[in-house]
Formats: sequence, structure tokens, C-alpha cells
Amino acid sequence: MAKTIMVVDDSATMRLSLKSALELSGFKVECAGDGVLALNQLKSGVKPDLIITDINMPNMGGLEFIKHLRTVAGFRFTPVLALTTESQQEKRDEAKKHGATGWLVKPVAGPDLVKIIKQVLPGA
Amino acid sequence: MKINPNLPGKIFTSRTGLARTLATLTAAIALMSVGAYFLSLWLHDRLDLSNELETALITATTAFAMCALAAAIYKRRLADVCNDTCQIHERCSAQHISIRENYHRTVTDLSLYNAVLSSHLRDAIEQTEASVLGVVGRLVNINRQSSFQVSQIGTSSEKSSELIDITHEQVHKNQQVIQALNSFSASQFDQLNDNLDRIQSLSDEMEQMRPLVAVIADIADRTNLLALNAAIEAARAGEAGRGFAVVADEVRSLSNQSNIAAREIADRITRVSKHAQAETENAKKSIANNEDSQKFTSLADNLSHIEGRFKSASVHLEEIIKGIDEANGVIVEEVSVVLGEIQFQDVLRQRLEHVNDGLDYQSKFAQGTLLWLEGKGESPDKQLSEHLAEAKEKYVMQAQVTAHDGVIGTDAAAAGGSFKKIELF
Repeated sequence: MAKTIMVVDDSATMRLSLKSALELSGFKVECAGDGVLALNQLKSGVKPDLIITDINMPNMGGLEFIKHLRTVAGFRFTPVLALTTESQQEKRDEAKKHGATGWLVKPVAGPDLVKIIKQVLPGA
Repeated sequence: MKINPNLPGKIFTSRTGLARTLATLTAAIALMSVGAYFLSLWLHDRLDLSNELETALITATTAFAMCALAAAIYKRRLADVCNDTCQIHERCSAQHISIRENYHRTVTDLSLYNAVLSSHLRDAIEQTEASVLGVVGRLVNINRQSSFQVSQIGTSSEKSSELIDITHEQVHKNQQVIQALNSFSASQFDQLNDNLDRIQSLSDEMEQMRPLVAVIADIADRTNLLALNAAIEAARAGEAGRGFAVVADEVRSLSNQSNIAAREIADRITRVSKHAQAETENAKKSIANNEDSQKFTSLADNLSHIEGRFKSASVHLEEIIKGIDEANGVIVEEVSVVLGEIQFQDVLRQRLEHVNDGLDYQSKFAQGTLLWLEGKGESPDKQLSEHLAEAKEKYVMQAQVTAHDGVIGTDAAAAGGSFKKIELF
């Protein structure tokens, strides 16, 4: 059965390009425009196997989203990859502290992204 | 417009003015000295004064004259300076008004200019985003079409494979039928050979009867001859041989009939034997040609050939489908790479948004400065350089920091240039 991946990004370009690239590789993809919308989707029953989130977003950024995510039942150990333009080490450390699984700096080629996903999501 | 550097309020506005004043003073002192000399001569001739009083009087007069002269010169210079100051003040006021008007216009233009640039940048971001979304949509569509074609080809392939399997099965069944027919044909052939052998045997046996028929004919001839002799002897015997003559006639009649029957049997044996011989010859020729078997073999060969061609077509079709599958795989890979590279738009958008923020601040700063110059507000609390330093703190990309430091000229670019693009914790 196809694994489900949630993409959280305020950029429509990012959402569409990631959704298309991941669907090409056989994943099912759900999208959200920011952290608040993503949490609402998760609470309404969407159950992704992995989450890819941007860091700088309106309403709720990626770091805060990861922090909140870890308090939601069923998502304590869900792998979360931060995909961002941020290259500062402090932000990486903060993301790691909040429970992120990895840090990817945009742009990331589709095959590289799929390789990383398969690495953190065994059986994908 | 250039600002006059000569400020009002200075008496000596240049070295030339000072030299001219000193020359005037020196000439006046020289004139005073000459006047004092002639005054001393006049006093000495007309008045009888003591030397000390005369000296004091001359000195006082000279000092007074010099003071009066200096006051006159100073007054003149003061008037000149005042005049100059007024002129400069007028010029400065005009310049100030012009500068203020110019600055006001510049600030207004700058705000408008920045607003236009910001609008262009926002439009460019929106257009880029719309175009990139269009490109992504088209790429996805291309991939869908490609996948659909591959799926269609796969379905056709499956159908072709089914057809080939059915044909293969049918050919196999036909071959089994042909094999059965071949066996039947062989069995018939063997049976026919046996029949022919039997006919040949019968024919041979009938031929073997021919000498017996000849013996019968010979016996009949001899019996006829005996009957004739018996009739002669009966005639010699006269009346007593009359009955014997009748028997002799009957015996001769029987021998004639036997002779006729023997010839007929011989004729029939000949005819049957010839007919059997002819049929046997024909059958043997047919067997020698083995026509049915050859027809069956030819049919089997044709079916094998058809099966072979189907198999070859199947292999060729599978190779084509495999090639298309591989090409589709390459397309999917390339599309995936392009979809990743399209993320540049988001990177570009964020950088341009920072540029837009900078332009907005620049406009606000110019407006604040203008209000301050017009006395309508405080001076801006931050200089542009301070804001630029703050802007650097807000950068999120290493590329932004590198570009910033490249212009400002710090070494930070070299220090912070390396970072992991992908890191798993």
C-alpha cells in the first residue's frame, strides 16, 4: 500500500512540485499551506507516514509546527523532514531539539528527496 | 545645485583682503609719520613749548589720527562684510529653498520609484509563480500522457500475449490432430500394405491355379478323344454297342463342356489376375508417393511456421514495450529532477521579498528625513547602514549573507560559506 506524505509549505510552487514529484514515485500526498492548517488536517483524521515542512511560514512556522505536532496523539514519532531555504545552524539545532528527523536546504532534486524519504521511511 | 562654501559673519574672507588692509594701514602710518614730522616743525616755530610737551602733543595727535583712520577703515570693511553677508544670506536662502524643494521632490520621486520597483518585483514573483505552476502542470500532464500510453501499450501487449498464447495452444492442438492423423495414416498405410499383400497372394494363388485349368483342359481333350474312340468302337460293335455309343457321346459332350469351362476359368483367372495386378500397382504407386502423409507433414510444417512467426512477433513486441518502459522511466526521472529544480522559484521569491522590504524601508527613511528637515518630526531613529546591518540578521540563506558581505566587504562570507545541504539527525 502506498505511503502517505504530508507537504506543509506556504508556496504554491513548492506544494505542487513536491506533490507531483512524490506522486511520480508512488506516494500519496496531502498538502497544507501552513502549520495551523496542517495541524487541523492531522486532527481531522489525516494520518501521514512522513511530514515534509517548510520553516518560514505565516501563521505558524515549521519549528512551532513540529513542536505542536509532537504533542498530538499518534504523531509523537512520525518522521518530519524540514525542507527550507534556511541554512543557519541555530535553526537546525532548534529543529532537532523539537524532534525533526532531518534538514534539507532547497532546492532538492526529486530523486535525492525520494532517496532520503526511503532512508527515513523503511518499506517505502 | 552647488552650495557656496563662503559662510557669512567673517570679516576677512580671504588672504587678499587681509593684505589689502595691512597695506592701507602701513600707508596710513607712513602718512601719519610724515604729518607728525611737519607738525613738530610747525609747533617748534610757532609755539615755545618744552620738548616733552611737544613730543606728547605730537604722539597724542598721531595716535588720535591713527585711531580715527583705523575706525574709518574698520567701518568701511564692516559695511563691506555686512553687504557680503546679506548677499550670501540671500543666496543661501534661495539655495536652501531650492535644496528643500529638490529634496522633497527627490523623496516623493524616490517613494514613487521604489513603489514602482516593488510593484515590478511583486508582479515578477507572481508571474514567475504562475509560469512555474503552469510548467509543473504541463510536466505532470506529459508524464500522465506518457504513463497512459505505456499502460495502453501494456494492455495491448497483454492482449497480444493472450492472442499468442491462444494461437500457440491452437497450433499445439492442431499438431496433436495432425499427429493423430499421421498415426491413422500410417496405420491405414500398414493396413493397405497388408491388404495389397493379401491380394497379391490371392492373385499368385490364382495364377497357380492356371496349370490346373490346363490339366483339366488336357483331361477334357483326352476324355473327348477317348469318347471318340469309344464311339468308333461302339459303331464297330453294332447293335450291341449302341448303348455304349450313347454313353460315349455323353462323355464327349461332358468333355467338351469341361473344356469350355476350363477355358472360361482360365480366361477369368487371367482377367482377375490382371485386374488385381493393376490395382496393386496403383496402390503401390500411391503408397510410394505417400501423398496424404506429405500433406499432413506440410500442414504441420505450416502450423509450426505460423507459431514461430507468432513467437518472433511476441518477442519483438516485448522488446518494443520494454524499450518504451525504459524510455518512460527516463522521462519520469527527468521530470522528477525538473520538479526539484523548480524549487528555485521559492528561493528567488524569498530573496526578492527581502529586496522589497529594503525598498520599502528606504522610502520610509527618506520620508522621515524630509519631515525632520521641514521641522515636522524627529530624525529617523536608524541610519540606513544600521538598517542594512539588521537586514543581514534576517537573512535565511547563505547566498544572501555571501552577497551582502561581498558588497560590504567583510570576511564573513568566507567564514560561513560551507553548510550541509542535507542532514539527517
